[in-house]
Amino acid sequence: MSLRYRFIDLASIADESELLGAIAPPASGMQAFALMGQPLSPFKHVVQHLRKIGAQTLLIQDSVRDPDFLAEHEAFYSKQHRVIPRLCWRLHAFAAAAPIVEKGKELTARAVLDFLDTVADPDRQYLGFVTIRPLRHAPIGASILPPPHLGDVTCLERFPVHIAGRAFYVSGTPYLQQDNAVGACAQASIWIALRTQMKRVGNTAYTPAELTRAATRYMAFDRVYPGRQGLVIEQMLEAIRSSGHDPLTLTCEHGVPGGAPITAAYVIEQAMPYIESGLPVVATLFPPSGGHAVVCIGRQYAARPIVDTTRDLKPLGIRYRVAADWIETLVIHNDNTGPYLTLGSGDPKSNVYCLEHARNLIIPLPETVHMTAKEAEQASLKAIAFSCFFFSQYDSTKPPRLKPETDIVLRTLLVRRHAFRRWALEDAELDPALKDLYRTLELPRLIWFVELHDAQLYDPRNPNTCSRIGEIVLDASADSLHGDVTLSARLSRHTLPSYSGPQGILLLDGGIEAEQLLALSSGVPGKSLAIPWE
Amino acid sequence: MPTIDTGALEFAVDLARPVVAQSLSAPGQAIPIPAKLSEQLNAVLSNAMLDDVLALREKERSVSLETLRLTVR
Repeated sequence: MSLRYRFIDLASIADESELLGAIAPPASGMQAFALMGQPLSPFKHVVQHLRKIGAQTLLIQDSVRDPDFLAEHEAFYSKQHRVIPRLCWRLHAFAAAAPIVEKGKELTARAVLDFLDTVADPDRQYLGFVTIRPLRHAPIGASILPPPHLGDVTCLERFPVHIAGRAFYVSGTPYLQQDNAVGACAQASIWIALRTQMKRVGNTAYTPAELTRAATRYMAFDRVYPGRQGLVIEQMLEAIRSSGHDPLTLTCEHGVPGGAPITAAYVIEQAMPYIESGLPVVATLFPPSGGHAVVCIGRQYAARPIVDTTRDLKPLGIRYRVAADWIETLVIHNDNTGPYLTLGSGDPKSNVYCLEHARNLIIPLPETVHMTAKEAEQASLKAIAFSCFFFSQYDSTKPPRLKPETDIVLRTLLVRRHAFRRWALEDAELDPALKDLYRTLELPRLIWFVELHDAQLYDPRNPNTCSRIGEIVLDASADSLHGDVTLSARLSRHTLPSYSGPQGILLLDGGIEAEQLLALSSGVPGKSLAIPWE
Repeated sequence: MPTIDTGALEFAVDLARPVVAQSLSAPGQAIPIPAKLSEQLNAVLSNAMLDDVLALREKERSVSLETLRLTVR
């Protein structure tokens, strides 16, 4: 029986075609395929990414029954006259050097097992895996690699990977290339978004083939297979709905449809709260060459704000800006170019993808999130006005006030209640009475958490910056129009520095009982909530 | 919608002062806010924001059929 494992020293491989040749046997025909053109761009980018994250050794596993490709095979490739293999290769990347095999000798199973059993610090040395499908035109199957900069990517999960009885772990965002037969970019994007949330939301692992069937169940404009014609947005929404998610569709048009041109800042502002919440955002892009879908999974902050979107909420007189002002580019998985790429501002007339090409954002929300991020932001402003009024009442020498005196930045994110309580437990700057209240407060499964930051102190690039001077907790399952959405609102004295009074106040929703007011003994600025999911 | 005139909040001032005085004398303790005060203040703020709330709802929930039929591939 031949050994189904081999090592490849990545440093000794000069280019991508040589690597593909080393992975696939000559009979597969993959070696003969020129590594050029768009379809193999993902393979090139994946190899470049492996080098960037420090991969030295690739452990090649032959005869892999990859569930996603098996489903694609059954749906389409098994029905072809010429035999298309149904087994894949899997490349496991390690930062460690491969064992040396003496010349003339063959690699033994013992050598492979010794390598796996003795990898020092496996959490750092194991760098994820890439599935290679036996398809010349679309080799990259279900893969998970860590991002180049962990802090930039928020939509990721820690996955266990089992090799020869050993469990390794990789934290990353699942990636897949469209095969242009069972699925196009739409299915690949939905697959990425759902697979990232699978563990958190507890949904089923939908394969691209299942997503195609779900998308075309009630509406098909052409043949289902081969699915080269892509999907319309309506079909994408149906596929997401069938997976148990509630797809929210947002428009990227700022004013009236067809009015003002789409701006990068507006697209970022719409997407940011969801990305910040660890929820992947599927963006539909429409460059002159035609529609395409990518998945936004992270963001890159600049040292200073990129734009100034300071606005005045007229009825309450509150001036504020949003944390998205500091974001320069989004981090995306693009199934037809590669993983962990950036999407920034550009020329909308060019075919090079840019934020200005975005027409819609689709967010596969977990069920029972009835309020959007923007509605949460709006509700938080009302809660701020309500709280400011009470805070101003401690100083009888001054008139009542509905707005902070400080320039504020709002950062909005959807948080699971366990993560909120864990944050309250671990946050060193929180007032002790507030800490106890937050940990014992009755909460829905998901909350909108709106942080108020002092604009002068806010620095999103540094997670240790203490600039949070208040926070509003909202019921994500509530309807903003109904009104009863605020669970708690806290303001520190930094919001009204010229008023005398306690260091901070907290207003608590009493449910069926009366609302309550607490004076707090501490109001020092705190850090941002970093982990919205547990 | 014009900015709320804080002078119109006199009704709330009279009701809020005893609550804040009580909370100052008992820091860390939750003091109930009279229902009349929170209801009326909420009503003033909600009414002031109603146009904005409805406008956002209309904007976010209006994806045209034409858009829904756009193809991505």
